[in-house]
Amino acid sequence: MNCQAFEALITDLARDGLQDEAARLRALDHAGSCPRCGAHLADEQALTALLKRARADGGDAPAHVGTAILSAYRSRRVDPTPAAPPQPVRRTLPSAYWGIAAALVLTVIGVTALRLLHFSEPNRNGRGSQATKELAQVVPSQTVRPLEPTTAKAGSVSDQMASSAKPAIRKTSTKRPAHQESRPAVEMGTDFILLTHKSELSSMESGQLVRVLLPRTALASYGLPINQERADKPVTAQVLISQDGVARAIRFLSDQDTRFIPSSMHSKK
Amino acid sequence: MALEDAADGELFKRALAGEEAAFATLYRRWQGSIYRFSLRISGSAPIAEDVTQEVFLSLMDGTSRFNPALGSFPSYVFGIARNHVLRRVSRERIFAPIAENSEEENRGSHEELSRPSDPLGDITQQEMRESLYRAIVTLPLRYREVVVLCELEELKYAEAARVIGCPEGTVRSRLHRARTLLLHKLHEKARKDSRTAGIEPARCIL
Repeated sequence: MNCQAFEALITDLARDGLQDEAARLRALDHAGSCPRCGAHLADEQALTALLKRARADGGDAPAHVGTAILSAYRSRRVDPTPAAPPQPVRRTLPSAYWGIAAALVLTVIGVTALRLLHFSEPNRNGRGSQATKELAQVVPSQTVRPLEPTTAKAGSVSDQMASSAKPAIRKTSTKRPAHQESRPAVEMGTDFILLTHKSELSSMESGQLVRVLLPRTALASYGLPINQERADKPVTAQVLISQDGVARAIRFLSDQDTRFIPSSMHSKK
Repeated sequence: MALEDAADGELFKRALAGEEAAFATLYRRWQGSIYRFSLRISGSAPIAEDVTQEVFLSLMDGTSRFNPALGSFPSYVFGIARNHVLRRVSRERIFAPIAENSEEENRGSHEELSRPSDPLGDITQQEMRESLYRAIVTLPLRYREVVVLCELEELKYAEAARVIGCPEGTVRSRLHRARTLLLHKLHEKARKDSRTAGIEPARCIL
């Protein structure tokens, strides 16, 4: 056996995976007679031993992962009908289209109402901005909406994202009509943090806000502090998914808004 | 048959039928491997946690059923995990693996390997494992995944080939190349360390 043939067998030889006994003996014989190949085999065998010892390194998944998965399993078993499997984001797009359509209708209604106010009111000072505020209150902040053309709320979201180099904890308070009072009126959380380059937002035609549960360590990835007392508890985040299924921005909600939605880890709000 | 002794396929079937104990057993049996696989491929604990969740949620999903005729259960779960990890890693671009044709990779390491001294023997076991981990994480992805699957998770070449979706021979050749790269990186690390410490490395058994 020459060095080239030995080289072809060395991985299996070092891993004790060379089945052909005759080939194994020839290779060992060559390693014994060729110092270079002998040293190489010793290194490969040492690497195999090191890799074997490293197999258990890395440990197990943290306990909270198991707890969350088991909760999801239980809830699915109890109520398997609604959103049976956790649908990948891409698969939720058809419903996003309905949301986009709804947002467009609301925008058209709002713009029409604004124009009516604009032309019918003789004293317009201050009334236009008031109408815009009213419109902003009517458009629910969580609806699926296009970022361009800019609606009152979509503009604020993209501005928020663009200006969020270092996210600050903020409090958004939205007045809602009486029929929406069942939703939480106050939501605490960070600003939206861009996950893609700002220029990519311009190609975003529509999007969807999805609520996800993340390990609290994810906060550190975005330079946010972690409350050590709750380090083992997950944190809720809202992710802005564009029409192509790519996550564009994220914001973290405070714990008072955190609630695990086990039927789907990507459930829509 | 006790659940602990039941085959993966059987547990999977029973878990899909709503038997929580079967699901819990399956989770206990596979969570460590999936978590470690994801951690070693991504180098990120949060990603590894997320991927572990995603894999088991996919198992519950039932849309992609396990078919024993198409491959073993390990191939099936690692295949799901690999898809999730690659998606996350490519999206977040958390790695800057060395270039495929970088100088470091192309430099032949056999000359170094045949040196009379063994720098690997110069560092402690713990340091060596840490060095090994760092070396694995900085391997190009196609080499990293075969090392993790074949060496650390002990999958057979055929199983790893099913996970990756390539011929068995490709797995074999990638593993060969990956091991050469690993040895080269470990030698480099040991040489740097010994240079820093001002000592000449001596050969000893690992």
